[in-house]
Amino acid sequence: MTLRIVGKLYSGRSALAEDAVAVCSNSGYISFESTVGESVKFSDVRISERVGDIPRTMTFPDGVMFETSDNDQVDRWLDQCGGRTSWRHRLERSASFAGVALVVTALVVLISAKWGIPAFSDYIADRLPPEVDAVIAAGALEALDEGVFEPSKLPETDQDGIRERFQQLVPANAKTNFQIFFRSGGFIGANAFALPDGSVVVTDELVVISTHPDELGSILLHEIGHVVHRHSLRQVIRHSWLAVLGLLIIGDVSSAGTLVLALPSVLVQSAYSREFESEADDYALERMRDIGLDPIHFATFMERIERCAFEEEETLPECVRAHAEDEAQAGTKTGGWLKYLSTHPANAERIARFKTSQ
Amino acid sequence: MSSTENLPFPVWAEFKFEGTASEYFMIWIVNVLLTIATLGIYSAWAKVRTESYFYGNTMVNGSSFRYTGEPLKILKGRIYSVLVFTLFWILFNYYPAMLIWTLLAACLMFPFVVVASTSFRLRNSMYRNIRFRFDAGYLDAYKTLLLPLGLIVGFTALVYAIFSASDMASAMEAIEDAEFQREDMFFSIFFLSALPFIPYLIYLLRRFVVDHMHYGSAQGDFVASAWDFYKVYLKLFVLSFGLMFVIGIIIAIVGAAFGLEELAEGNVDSKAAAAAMVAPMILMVVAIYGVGFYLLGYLNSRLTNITFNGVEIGPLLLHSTLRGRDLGNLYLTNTIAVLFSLGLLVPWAKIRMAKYKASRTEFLAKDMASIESIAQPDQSAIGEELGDMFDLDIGL
Repeated sequence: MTLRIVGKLYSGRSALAEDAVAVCSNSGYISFESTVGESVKFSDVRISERVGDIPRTMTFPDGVMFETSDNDQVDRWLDQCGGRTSWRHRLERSASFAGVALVVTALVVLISAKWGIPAFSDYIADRLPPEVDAVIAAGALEALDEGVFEPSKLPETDQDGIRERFQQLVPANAKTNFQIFFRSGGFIGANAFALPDGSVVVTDELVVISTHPDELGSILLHEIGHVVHRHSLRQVIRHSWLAVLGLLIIGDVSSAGTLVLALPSVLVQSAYSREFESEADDYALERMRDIGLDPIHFATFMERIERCAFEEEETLPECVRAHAEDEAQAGTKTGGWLKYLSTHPANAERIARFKTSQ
Repeated sequence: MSSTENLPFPVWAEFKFEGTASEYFMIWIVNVLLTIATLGIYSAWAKVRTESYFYGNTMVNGSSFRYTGEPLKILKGRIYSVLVFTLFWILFNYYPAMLIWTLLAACLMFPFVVVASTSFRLRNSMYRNIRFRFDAGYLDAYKTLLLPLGLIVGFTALVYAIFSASDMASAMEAIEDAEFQREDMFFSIFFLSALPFIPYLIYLLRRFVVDHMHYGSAQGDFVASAWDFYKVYLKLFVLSFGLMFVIGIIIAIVGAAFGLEELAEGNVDSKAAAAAMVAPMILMVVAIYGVGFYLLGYLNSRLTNITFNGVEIGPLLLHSTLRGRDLGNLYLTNTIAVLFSLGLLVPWAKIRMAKYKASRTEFLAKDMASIESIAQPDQSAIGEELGDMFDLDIGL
């Protein structure tokens, strides 16, 4: 059967259009009604792949182009004379395939975020030499000194005492060069954190609010745990893969895409960092048991940090005293909404673990 | 072949976008699945299908546009861009000591990316069987951009020299004791000195792109002036300050209503104080985002209008009448829709945007017959993909 396809012809020599009707035979030849010209075999014509319902183009060997909106007719002709129709378009038109694609995509994303990315990233991290940790840490302390910290105001003797204690807590067979630094915390208040090269930074405020040496020891063990388990490196790798996964879904790196990724990736990232915090807690708990420290010190210290972390320098002792009084009277309450905003695992749960493991 | 166009010239025609969200959703979800399943390799084919869909559904004067990019070239471009991007990412994040050199390298790469990306995009754009093209060499780009960049650097150096020699610098050093460092001021001064040149830089970039753009035998000509661009940025500046001022006042009032004084008096434990902290903060974030979308809408609509209305490609003219508040509405509602649908409404958002832009763009052809096709060499996709990676919006 001969098919007629209505469309427009463009000579390629000028930008003018001409209405035309293509006549397509079932033996695979195409010619035009109005113009005198030879028939051309379909295999010599470049026929554009169907995308949605956009106009199809047929480009002839002499550079002339025929454009038509009658996609179905073109497909019918290709079917008739044994030409290829687009498998992509068939997938893109099938509602059931779209449903399957949606479910599979959702599953792949969930499974990758929950298990795939963590497992694969940790596998990579295990195979990277310790020098990589040093690269990640390079310049970090200097940058913080410039932007956040002030020099420590702790007496040298106190610093030396804690430094000595810290070296006792460092794991015996450690390849990392563990070092402790003291800084005045400024707006980050009572806090401690670890850099991947083994530098552990403790703020003066944290030292001031500790009432028992083992409290500080338990936090130092937690920070050592971060270093031993290479959390910074693993975090960098996980976040990178997460970004790659996001780009795969959005498809291009356009500005609309990046904003879409923001919320889900923040949620997944905070899940990862909760996992790291509890891994560091595990480490601290285990080491405390080995050395014979009472885990209750971690719990009580965390409670006090939660209450007094952001007090001004002058009111710190007052806060510590008030906390002790309240403690004597009753248990503490933790805010519900804080639980979700915190990058730490809900501190109440963490504290409870150390309390019950005495 | 004798051609007979139905319409007499000049032709005044509106752009139309005929894609639908449901149709594009199906294309998009197949693209997503195949891209994930092939670990990203299919993304090059996905890009071609997406571009084809948007080009093909853009109609003017009875004909549609056509995208002719080749997947394999795009894939190659993507692989190179990922490597370059990763290198820069590592340098930026882990080698702070080399920051100046990294920035310099990025600046030097910029003109290259502009040319390569524009060439690839234009060369693969077709309308009525005639290709667009871009004839600027890399050297042209460096020559064009060297002057404004030199101006910025020169002006900064001058301001910094005057500042350093002034009493102010030594006065500030005395007040702020150890904390103050001259280098800190350098970046603030650099930013402030560069600011007045930004409209000029954007004007030069657009003029560069349009002047070197061809549609067949017709060459582009940019008739907008730098002053047009300055007017937009000046108005944006005034608008931003005005709106920020209003937001500030509203937040202060809300804060007071929630008991901010209590906070000031030191009753940190009370629930009211917590609310006083959180409520204005949430309000501020919402307001800044909300206002930000409309400011962005204003800026983008005016820049597009100035640019399109300044384009003459031989006998062809464009006319664009985008409105800031329309674009702002679209940015805001699209973002909300996409966020709350976990990305599922991305296709819908993109189609809406394309429909709106097409509905506000017109086209005047004084003549079509004089435009002839011209043979041209092939173009690699590396620049285009680099441009995408660094999120440069160079195209028109």
